[in-house]
Amino acid sequence: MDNELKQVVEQAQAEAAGVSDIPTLQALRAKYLGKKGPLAAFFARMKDVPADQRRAFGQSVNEARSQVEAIFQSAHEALEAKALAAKLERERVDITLPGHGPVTGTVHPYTKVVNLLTDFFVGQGYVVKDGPEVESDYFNFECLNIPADHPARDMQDSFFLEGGNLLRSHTSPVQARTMQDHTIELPFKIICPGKVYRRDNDATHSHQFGQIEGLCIGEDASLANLERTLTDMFKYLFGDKAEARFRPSFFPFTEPSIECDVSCFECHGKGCGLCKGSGWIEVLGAGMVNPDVFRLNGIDAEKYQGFAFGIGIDRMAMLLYGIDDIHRFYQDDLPFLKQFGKR
Amino acid sequence: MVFSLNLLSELVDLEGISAQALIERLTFAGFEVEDHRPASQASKLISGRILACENHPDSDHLHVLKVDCGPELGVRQIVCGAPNARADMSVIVALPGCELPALGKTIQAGVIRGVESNGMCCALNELGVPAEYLPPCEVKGIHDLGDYPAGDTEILKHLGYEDVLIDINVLPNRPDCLSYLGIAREIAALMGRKFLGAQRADLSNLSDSIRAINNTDDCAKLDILTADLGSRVDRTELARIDRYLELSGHRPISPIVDLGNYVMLLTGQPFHIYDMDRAHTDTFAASEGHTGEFSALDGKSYTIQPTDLTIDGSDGQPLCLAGILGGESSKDDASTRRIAVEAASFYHATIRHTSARLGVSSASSILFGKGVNPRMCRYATEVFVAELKRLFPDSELRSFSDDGKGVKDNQPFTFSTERLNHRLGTSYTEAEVDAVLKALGIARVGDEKVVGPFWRTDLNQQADIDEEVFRFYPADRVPLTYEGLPLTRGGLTETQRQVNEIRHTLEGFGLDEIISFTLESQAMSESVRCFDSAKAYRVLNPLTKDHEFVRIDLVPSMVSILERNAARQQDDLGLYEISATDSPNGRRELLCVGLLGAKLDQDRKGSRPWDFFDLKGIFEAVIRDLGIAESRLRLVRSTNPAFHPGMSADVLLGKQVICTFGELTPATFERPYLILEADLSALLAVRSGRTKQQPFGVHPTVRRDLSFDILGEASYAEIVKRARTGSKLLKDVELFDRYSDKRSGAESIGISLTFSADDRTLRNEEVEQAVTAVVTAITAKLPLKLRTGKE
Repeated sequence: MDNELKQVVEQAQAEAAGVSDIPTLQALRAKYLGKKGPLAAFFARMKDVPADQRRAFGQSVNEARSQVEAIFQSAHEALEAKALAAKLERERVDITLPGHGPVTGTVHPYTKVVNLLTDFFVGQGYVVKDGPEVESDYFNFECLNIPADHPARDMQDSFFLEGGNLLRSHTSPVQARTMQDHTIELPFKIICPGKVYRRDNDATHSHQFGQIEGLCIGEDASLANLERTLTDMFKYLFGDKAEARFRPSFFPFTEPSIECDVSCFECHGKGCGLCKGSGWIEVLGAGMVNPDVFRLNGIDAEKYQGFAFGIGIDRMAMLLYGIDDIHRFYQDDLPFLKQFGKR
Repeated sequence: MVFSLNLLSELVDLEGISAQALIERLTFAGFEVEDHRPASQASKLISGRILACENHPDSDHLHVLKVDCGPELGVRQIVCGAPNARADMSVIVALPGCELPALGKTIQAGVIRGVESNGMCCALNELGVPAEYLPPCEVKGIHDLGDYPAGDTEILKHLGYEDVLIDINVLPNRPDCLSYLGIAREIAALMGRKFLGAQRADLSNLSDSIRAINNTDDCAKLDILTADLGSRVDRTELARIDRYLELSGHRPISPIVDLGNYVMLLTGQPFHIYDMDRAHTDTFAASEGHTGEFSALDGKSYTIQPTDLTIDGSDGQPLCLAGILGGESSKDDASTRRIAVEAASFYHATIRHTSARLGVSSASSILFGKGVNPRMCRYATEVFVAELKRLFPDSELRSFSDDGKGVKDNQPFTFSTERLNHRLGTSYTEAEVDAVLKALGIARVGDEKVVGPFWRTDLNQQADIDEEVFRFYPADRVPLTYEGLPLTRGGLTETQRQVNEIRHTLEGFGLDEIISFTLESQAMSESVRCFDSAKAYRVLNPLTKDHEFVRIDLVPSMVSILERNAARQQDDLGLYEISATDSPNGRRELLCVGLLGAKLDQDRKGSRPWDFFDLKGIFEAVIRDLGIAESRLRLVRSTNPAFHPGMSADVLLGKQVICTFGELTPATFERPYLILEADLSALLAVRSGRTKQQPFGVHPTVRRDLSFDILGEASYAEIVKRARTGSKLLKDVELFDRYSDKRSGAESIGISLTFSADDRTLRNEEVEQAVTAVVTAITAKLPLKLRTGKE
């Protein structure tokens, strides 16, 4: 009897192995395990088995049935796995095809620098002010301690307009306008990004370029505060290793005035082409607001003091992004623009 | 200004101080050294004496020289091309192995056209002395050492060319340092060294027979000295003066002119020297008010006007265009024997304006233009006289006259160290501050005031002293701290944030930002205007005609940038610019979008041409960013003549056009530029409420798609509007198809209707009723016919 059972199991094994699709396998399973199947026939013979052997007989048949069930189970799983593998293979895509959706546009490097610096200064409590580019002589020069005959006016050759105005030669007029705006309470901190114009056009100058003017006025705002602010700005722009260096300079609207250098981020002070071997790059001018400027703009020079700085937007972009020619900014060639993503 | 270190060390004790240390100190005290270089560069030189000079047998310009190079090297044969080579002349010989960086070569012994040559006779520029300031004869030929003994191997040092030249950027507040004495004083103070100064002669007890008269407020001081030069010139002294002139960038001319220029270098005081045998005057009057032609010593004639300053002779005629150029009639030269020397201080702006108007600039006019201290005129004349005695040993002074005008002394002003430390955030001690005051010659007046020395004009208030102390000490004396910085609320305004949002949206559309020029040509200025028809500001002094007008509209520059890129084979151009413009009507922030060519498909498998509806989609997105309900705006066909009449639209807010978009008219523009311009200032001014959440339906919606044949004129907007009148259950209308048969001209439209109720699930019959009502509403008033599925 055991041999017969064994034969059934082996036959089921052999037949199941030859099946390649699930419906056939299910039919075959029904044939073996169904009511008319060979195993059911063994159960039918149970009543003829002597009572003392029934238990052993039952156990043998059950065992064979379990074996057959396991055979079909594993055959089923194997076929399912095969089917899944085939499906996955069928659905394989060329992952190197381009992604869908629009290719996002780019930000002009001028705007990138303005955004970068705006983020920094807003975090420091500054607000952003705008002012006209067609300016009066009064705001562009006079209020900034550059009276009509001042030699410093020779430093800034401006575009003069019919009707007596001029194109502003720096963003500093926004300082004066803000100081004279009585709706703005002291103390305040402002930055004024914008375009400025000088009658100068050669390899290293464009007649139009960008500046960010900064001004902070309070009762105790000091040169030490200015130097700390600029040092942190350099670290923000050029990384934590950046160092700042301050040299005395001269501007009519500040005193003392300083020229600020940042340690060369290419060579870290060793000297290279970018820093012309000095290890330092001249970046911007700044200083303590000249008390004369406060007087000219109606601020109490005995009570208040403050600092101002002017950052060249194009100059900063050229340093940050390695731009080799200032004229590229306003030619707007697509291959140039496309290089500047959002970061 | 370029300074010779040798001359500086005659004026200030520089013993043991390296050029590098000096440069470092100056740079960090506000005197940036822009360049420094040796005055000459050569090794292995020796003085030689030409014993014989014969023509080269095989050349029409070369000479074969026998040169005695002293006892050690003996007589050498040298082939030389200098036209001035002759026997019995001492020269500078570069021996084989000598490196001459100015020529970029090393001298080698060799054979020149068959004749042996063992060295080279040199001109000064070949040794590195800048050629532009040497007299032409020095550059054409070799340097003539006269009777100089042969065999001197330190010839450059003995000639005074072993020197270092430093180019200092003197800032506009320190005109006193546009002079050797001024910089020497500064160096003495900064380095803690002794200021030696220059010799000065006594001018008292001289007659005032030749008088200085001052008739104008634009002249703060006028001094006139007269002297006879005598017949002798000290050649050694002249060589010394000329060398310093050359090294400082001035070309030697004649002994007396050179003397004037040299003392000007020393003192910063320009002098004008008149030939008294030609001037025929016994007064020199500073005047204004002349008109007419003035014949100047440069051989040219200048038209002067009443605001120009002149120095007039006793006949009332101008002898000199004050501060700028002397007259032909009193020009001094090598034959001059009797001189008048003018030292004056003219108002800087008057000199600058005259100089700029006449297009003539001189060393004097540049100095006057930067401001000459009237307190220094007499001092400078005293230095002049001392130098005069050295250069012209037989000279005699004749007269000295001062215009009698009082010159104001520096005024004391309040200063406190506490205030200084508060302003700079520093902690300088009283003693440290006193050390600076002392070094710079600033005096204390009582406990609370200080006064600047007579040679300084820039010390007038506390901040000026703050600066002096700050630059005197190392930069790290200023701590890097936020202590004292006012706390203020920072942040962007609502409007500024909205502009940033718009930028992000435009970038999402794949547009690249441009920034173009504000100045444009007249043709551009007049080509396209969307919002402002004002007359554009015109520049009086443009660089070129292409940049003559201040733009009022961004479209012309956008077109030119699109054109530039299209010409460079760029065929997918989607650009935008956000810029403010200034017009006589005020400042306005504009957004301009320009599209040209084909845009990449959403799935990036190809591209399709940009079209009108891309512009419209961009505008709709901008409006959504700003939170402006579309119902507040009205869309009409644009009448702007720059645009294609059938493919452009104006958007109105009330009666104001706030945006125009469409294709530019093919009548004017060669390429199909798609342009949108929006008046951002106006759009940003529209008040829009903060987002408030609204209830939304939880019941299912039902969609029905309908197709209509269009049998006449009907716009999509009209169809939607009519549809909405048909049923309150209609929540949304969307376009799903718009078709025109190109052959038959038949047109059809497919719309998708969404129905729902807020309070219940719609029954089938309700939906069918609503659909019928909508169809009726549409077809009753519009020439549309519902298509049924069977047709």
